[in-house]
Amino acid sequence: MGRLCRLSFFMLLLIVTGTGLPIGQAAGKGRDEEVSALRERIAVLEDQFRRLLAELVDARRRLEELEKQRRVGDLKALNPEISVILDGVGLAGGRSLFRRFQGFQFREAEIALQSDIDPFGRAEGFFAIGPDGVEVEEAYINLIDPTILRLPKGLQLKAGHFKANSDKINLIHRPEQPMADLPLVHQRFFGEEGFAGTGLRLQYLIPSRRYTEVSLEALNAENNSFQTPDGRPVLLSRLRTVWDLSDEKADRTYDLGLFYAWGSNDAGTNTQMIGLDLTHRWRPSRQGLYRSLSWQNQILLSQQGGAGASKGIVSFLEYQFSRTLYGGARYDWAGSPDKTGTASGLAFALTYFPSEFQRYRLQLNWQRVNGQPVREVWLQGTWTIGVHRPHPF
Amino acid sequence: MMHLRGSGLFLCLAVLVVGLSSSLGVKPKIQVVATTGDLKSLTELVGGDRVQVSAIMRGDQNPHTVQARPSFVVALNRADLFIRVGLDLELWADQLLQAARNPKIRKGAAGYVDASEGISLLEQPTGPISRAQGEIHIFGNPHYWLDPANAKIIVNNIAEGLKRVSPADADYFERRQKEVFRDLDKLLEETLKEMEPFRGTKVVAYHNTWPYLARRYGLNVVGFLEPKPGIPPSGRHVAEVIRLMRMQGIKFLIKEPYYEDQTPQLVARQTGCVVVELPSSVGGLPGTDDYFQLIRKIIGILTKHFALVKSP
Repeated sequence: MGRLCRLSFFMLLLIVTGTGLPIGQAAGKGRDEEVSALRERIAVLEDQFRRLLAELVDARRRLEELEKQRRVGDLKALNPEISVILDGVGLAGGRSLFRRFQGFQFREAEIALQSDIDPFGRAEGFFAIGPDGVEVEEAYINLIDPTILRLPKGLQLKAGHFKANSDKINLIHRPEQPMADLPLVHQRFFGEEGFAGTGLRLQYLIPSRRYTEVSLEALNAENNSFQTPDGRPVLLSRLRTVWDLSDEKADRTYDLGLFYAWGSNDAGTNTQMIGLDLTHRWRPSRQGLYRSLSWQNQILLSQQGGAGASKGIVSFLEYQFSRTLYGGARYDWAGSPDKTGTASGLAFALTYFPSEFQRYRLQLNWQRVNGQPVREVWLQGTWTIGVHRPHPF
Repeated sequence: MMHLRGSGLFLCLAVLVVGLSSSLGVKPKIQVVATTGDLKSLTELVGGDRVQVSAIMRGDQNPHTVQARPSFVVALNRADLFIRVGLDLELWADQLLQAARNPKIRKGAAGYVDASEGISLLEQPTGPISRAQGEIHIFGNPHYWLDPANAKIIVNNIAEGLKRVSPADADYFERRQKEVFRDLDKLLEETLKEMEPFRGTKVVAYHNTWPYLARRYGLNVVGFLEPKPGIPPSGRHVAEVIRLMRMQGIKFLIKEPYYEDQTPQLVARQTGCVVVELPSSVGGLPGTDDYFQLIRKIIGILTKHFALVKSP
């Protein structure tokens, strides 16, 4: 029995060592072949997958193009972008604060229409509907592709009725101003509607590392400093340059502008005006939704005929306390174009934005106008509906 | 004397090198401006040494509210190619394009690339839309770059743009595009494997930035701190979110670096959840210098936190 067991064990060993080894070698070789075949198969499949993916991307693009064509078929797609800004105020004040409530007033509904005309130009119109009727605030075309007129690259042409490019504050429409009323400088030298007129403007972006732009404009304007009854336009030029000192922690810019304007006035003489403005903006990179600062300063000198120069100064600081709350302070001092008195004042404002499209403001003014004290409390509500593009920088 | 002779020799060599390079006509690089660091990173990968790319936005800035600075106008004025996320994410870019007065990169021109072309968009509004729904994106959610599978479509759009503005380099861009595709496949495969054990994990997010990432990696975003897109969290809504998180046992609140910390921390104190800060763009957090690092960082942060809570 023992011998039989030993024999069986020996035979088993023979089978394993004698026949198993070649089988193992063959299996290993087979596995290698199988692996390389599978690799080849994977490579083929990968190629097929890439091709299919490319076809899928192509098919999606074609589908999108078809959808676009279908959408473009709808003529409404060619309508201009429309937005409406409603601006209302409540004002209390006069010589004695709180004694005289002057009531609530719907100041205006500003209707903005903007659209490309063709590949070369864009038209924009801003119309204010208020208690005094409809007024064209701005209506102009911007020739944004100068190649059509073979003008040099960097040149832009604007034609129509527009706000003069004298300074940053003047370019902002009334409902979007950082305070409920215009600075005294602008009120006294230009009037409630600011410096606007009808004419032409050429703007040229000077090729340099820093943003530097020169603009030249000729416009027929009517305001406290300029009148153009004989049709002779006011000539205005402005140089603007921006130092961008932003880094990975914050945006920091210093924006410097210098303008010179020359034109006739209602006394039958000429008015010359020089203005200088400097704006500092700061916004931290990470917390930019919650904090920002803007400090605008402006000085203006104006001379009518051979008389001495009148001047005006404004300094406005605005700080963002949270995502929705801003605080602003303004100091201004202004003579008048005909040198008939001075005005100065301090103003403080708290502005609350529940969203980008609603704004509520409380503002206090302490002013002295031609020797008389003026105290005012403003309440302002501004509401925006429709397509609302971000503000120009 | 030797010094002088050495300096003279060096000067001659320098003049020779400068002269040769100008006479040989060293090809200027294609000037590209991208709106985000993600697009910049992918463009650099496809464009290689033929492109010079700059990004308008930094990764830790909120893409919806970037302030258009005049210095961007200068860069765009000189650009050969402009690449944007598109849809209605960077409305501020339209102002810049208009001010740049560069016909080469205007919409429809050869140098204009909308990276969203061909992307299957999520959350496209159906039915009437209005501002009552918050700052909604009318074409669909625009944060599509956070899915590496979509990055392939973006890369394809970028490569097509590069080929349009520089047809002579088409072969070079195609070769690099294939390499980027291969690397993206690898990235996707590896990150999917890492996230596999955590599929279906429920989270609350500050803003609706993550639907593409969530779909790809199986994240279950059940609520938002913002009551509606772009509307700051209100007390009542935060209380509702806290109740939801307690009821469903949600342990994670994800937020982008550019949102405030107070509200998430308040929710964390009330619910015991972990506030997970995730970068949503290249450069959003340290160690996210390119697109691949960004995706690996996001997955790394998520898996680290998920693993800690799963097996404390």
